[in-house]
Amino acid sequence: MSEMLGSNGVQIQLEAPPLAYVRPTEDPGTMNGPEDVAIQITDLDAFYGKRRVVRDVSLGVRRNAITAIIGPSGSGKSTLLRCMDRMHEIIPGARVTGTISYRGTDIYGPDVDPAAVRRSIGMVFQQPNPFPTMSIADNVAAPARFNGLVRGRQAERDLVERCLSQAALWDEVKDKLSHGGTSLSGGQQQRLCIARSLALEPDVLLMDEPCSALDPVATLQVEQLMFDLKSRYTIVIVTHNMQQASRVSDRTAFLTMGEDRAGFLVEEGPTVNVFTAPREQLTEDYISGRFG
Amino acid sequence: MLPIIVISTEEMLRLTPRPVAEGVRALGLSRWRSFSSVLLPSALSGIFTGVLLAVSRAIGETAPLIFTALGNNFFSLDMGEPLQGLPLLIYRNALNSAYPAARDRAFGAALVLVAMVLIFNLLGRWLVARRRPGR
Ligand SMILES: Nc1ncnc2c1ncn2[C@@H]1O[C@H](COP(=O)(O)OP(=O)(O)OP(=O)(O)O)[C@@H](O)[C@H]1O
Ligand SMILES: [Mg+2]
Repeated sequence: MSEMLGSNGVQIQLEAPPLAYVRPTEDPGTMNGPEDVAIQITDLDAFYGKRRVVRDVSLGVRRNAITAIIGPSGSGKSTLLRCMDRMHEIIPGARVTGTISYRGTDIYGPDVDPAAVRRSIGMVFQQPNPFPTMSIADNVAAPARFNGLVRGRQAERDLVERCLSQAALWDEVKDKLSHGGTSLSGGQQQRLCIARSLALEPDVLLMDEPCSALDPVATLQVEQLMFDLKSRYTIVIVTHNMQQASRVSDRTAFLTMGEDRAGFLVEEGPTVNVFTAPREQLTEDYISGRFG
Repeated sequence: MLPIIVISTEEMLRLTPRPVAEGVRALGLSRWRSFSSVLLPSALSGIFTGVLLAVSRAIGETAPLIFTALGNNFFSLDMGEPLQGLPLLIYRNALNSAYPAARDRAFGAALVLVAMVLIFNLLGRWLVARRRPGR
């Protein structure tokens, strides 16, 4: 993957309009059967204390594709995303019912270690959150080292280079690997956080509005990166930006909330269909409201 | 001194930005790892500040000594007995400042006290700076 990005590969690719991205031959927008599903969510309800904020969601997340989750503020997009790597439950009083199966196991099953789930299913946050006391290199290497995935200085250096290259950041930081992670620009920090997630060799990446704190150039870089990553990873992105959803994602899930203020899934399907020929009136209203 | 340190340390650990604290958990690190490698180091400069403030303040504390242990005019290493305190030394000698020797002792002790506080502060700064990666 790193070979694809030449010394200034990012800039070159940025000049191409986003729609000129090369799509894999097999259309990642279509779901052919269970073998295409990375994460299967079934009858999911999520609560904060007594309040139910996500109701009855059943959704298969397409493998090796980018799935966008869109919907109005408060419809439970972040909550749903956090349920997928068991981050929801770290909030006191928060709980989940229903099942989420990943590689055939229910991640909420009794014998499952939430930390192991979070290592396979990485998460990128809205605010870039590099570890403030660690160098750029350590930001990438330390979590992998702590989890026993790398041993030895040389192996760590290789890992750092590989992950930073994959995150399209290597060329910008290779001469200052010992500088603090927080000394980078916002967009660079976000790519550093993506590199840090990649170092744990996850196969799913969950991203909650990863570009909302970034400027347009940094946003395009992160979008390009997602595009490069999707042949190897399954990506789920929550976004408020409809243009972003329509240009980066293969499939789109639309959530909204009902009278009880609990979020539910209205429809999920290939992005082109959801945006141009939605099955549900609610989806059409939301999308045309945004574009009209 | 201890209550100040405990409270400020607790506050500093709580001050870790939530995205950072959540980021560590999302990487599947154990709670101890999250604490020792990310939360504690990022709170460290704040913790040091708290300790320094507390120590610097306790060092200069005179009134409690006058009203309680009263110090000791002789050299002693026995922790069970009252010890001489620098501020107390200054206080006693300054009261007798009519005598040049006592006045000198008071000024000398004051200099030592100020120097100690300064050294504590510099030491703390240095320790904090050393743990921070370069810019
Ligand atoms: N930590 C929390 N404690 C209690 N309630 C919460 C918490 N986080 C979110 N909620 C509530 O859950 C509901 C869904 O929130 P969530 O953050 O999932 O929405 P969202 O779709 O991501 O919204 P946004 O687009 O604004 O990010 C909201 O009504 C919110 O008030
Ligand atoms: Mg949200």
